[in-house]
Amino acid sequence: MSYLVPFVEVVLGDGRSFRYGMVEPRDGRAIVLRHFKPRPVSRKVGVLISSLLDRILTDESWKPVTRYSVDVRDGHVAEYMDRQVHVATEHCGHIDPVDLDEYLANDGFMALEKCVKELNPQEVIDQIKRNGLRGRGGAGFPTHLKWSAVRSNTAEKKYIVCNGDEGDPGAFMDRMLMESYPYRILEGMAIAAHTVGADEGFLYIRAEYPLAVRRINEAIDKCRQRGLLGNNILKSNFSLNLSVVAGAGAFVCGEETALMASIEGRRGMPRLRPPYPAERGLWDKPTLINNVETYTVVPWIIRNGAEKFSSVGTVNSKGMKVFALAGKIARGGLIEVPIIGRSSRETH
Amino acid sequence: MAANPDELLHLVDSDRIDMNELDLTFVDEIISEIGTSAEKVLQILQALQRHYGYLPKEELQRVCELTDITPASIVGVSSFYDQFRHRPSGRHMIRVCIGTACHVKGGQRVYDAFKRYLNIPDTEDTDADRLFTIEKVACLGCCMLAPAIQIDDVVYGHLSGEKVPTVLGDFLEQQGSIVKQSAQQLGVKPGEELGEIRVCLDSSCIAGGSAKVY
Repeated sequence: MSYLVPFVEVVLGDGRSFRYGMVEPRDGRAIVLRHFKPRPVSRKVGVLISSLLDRILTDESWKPVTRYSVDVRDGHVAEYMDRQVHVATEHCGHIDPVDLDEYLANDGFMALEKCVKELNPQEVIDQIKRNGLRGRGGAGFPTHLKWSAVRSNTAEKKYIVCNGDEGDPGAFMDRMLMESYPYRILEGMAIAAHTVGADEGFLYIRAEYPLAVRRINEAIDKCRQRGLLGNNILKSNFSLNLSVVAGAGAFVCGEETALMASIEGRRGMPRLRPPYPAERGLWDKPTLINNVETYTVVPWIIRNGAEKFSSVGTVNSKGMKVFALAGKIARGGLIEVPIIGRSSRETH
Repeated sequence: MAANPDELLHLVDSDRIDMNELDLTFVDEIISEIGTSAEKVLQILQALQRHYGYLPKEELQRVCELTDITPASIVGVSSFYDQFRHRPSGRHMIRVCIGTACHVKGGQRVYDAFKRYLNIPDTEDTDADRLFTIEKVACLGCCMLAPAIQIDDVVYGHLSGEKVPTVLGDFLEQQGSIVKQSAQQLGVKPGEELGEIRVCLDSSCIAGGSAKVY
């Protein structure tokens, strides 16, 4: 709900949660004190006196902090939140983006473990196929076909790439996913790499997304330290080394062949296809390139199995999609909803 | 052997305004960190861009001396990608978004307002004090905050001509300290959890000021 930023949620020990929108720094103390009472008596007195002095000595008229309260029963909030289904944005609002322990505590890397220890690559591709996942970058190419093409190539060296060069004007879904769920993207990439046989990969992230670059780099470091990336992942034979390549301000580098040229250190000029990246990509080796959101939904699909993802959506477009609402509208932000033939009017 | 680097590099318009003595140790360090193969050209140029604010000619020549990167490659790559500058920039970079959402909400007017306020002539992009350089960029990904700008790594949203002085003042002020409130002040015993305060910290929220709220 980006139209209410900055957004704060207070969750008490008993599970009750209170939300506030359009918060300003000076209201921070009032919000904290509304929910958490200071313990030592001296501190209580201190807080009371300083609040009194604030009221007397400052010109600011004191408005109750409750004006910021966001009630989920408010019409516009309910409409925004209710119809969303969180797959790529699972645990939205609950986990710290770069806290690996929190991610692990919320089923993090369980899907990767399942793929490495239980399923064989063909079973993984079959599951992706049954779920009907199509590329979330916009072209909508069936993901299982791309993965199969790279997997069936007999070359020894293969690469995996994440296309984080979101250039579509008005689109910021991938930015949100990279900043908020970096581990989920890495897990999705690891699953894909294991399936197709890649041992090295790159996340190409736009220069205009510095926070995303920082968080993904931090996430990669932490994963390496815990044996979730690098050599012998989860103590298996599977190794994968990922690194971030920052874009340099060229819109065309969102196109996969231009993107690969950029990673190779050349001018980002697109080339004709065939040959497709699955056949000859980075440095002429078979390369799997998928969009950020495509990788983000893979762990959920593996964990929830079979047909759950494809239980929503249209005949040809299954599952959920994150949409960005921006421009001349009342309430901007990001929503993740099932792909249904619904008019844009309904999304307000 | 390749053509004389000087002949090719003169095509790159990189007049040095700051005439400090050459310090090539940074270039040497970057190269030893990133590598010397030809494909590392983008990463090396990006590191130079970040450090100097532009691509100084002498540093580029040093790169050619120490790596497999050719002058042709440097000219080709640095002229293709918008991020690279060949003229010195001010201390801070103002990027005004002119993506579709910002465009319809008046991004061009915001750009003009900044140029007017900073007295930057039409043919230039940096103010006289060399504090700010302004440029237009494609989408920053903060479209619901249109018109949006980015000064260095800080995003500001809902801009208008009138807000220019406030935004610049706020940015320069922000270069100072960040205040943090500690749990000790509430008398929390170690290991005890009263609850959790969750503050959204993605780029759009930070642009709205959530970092200060945190």
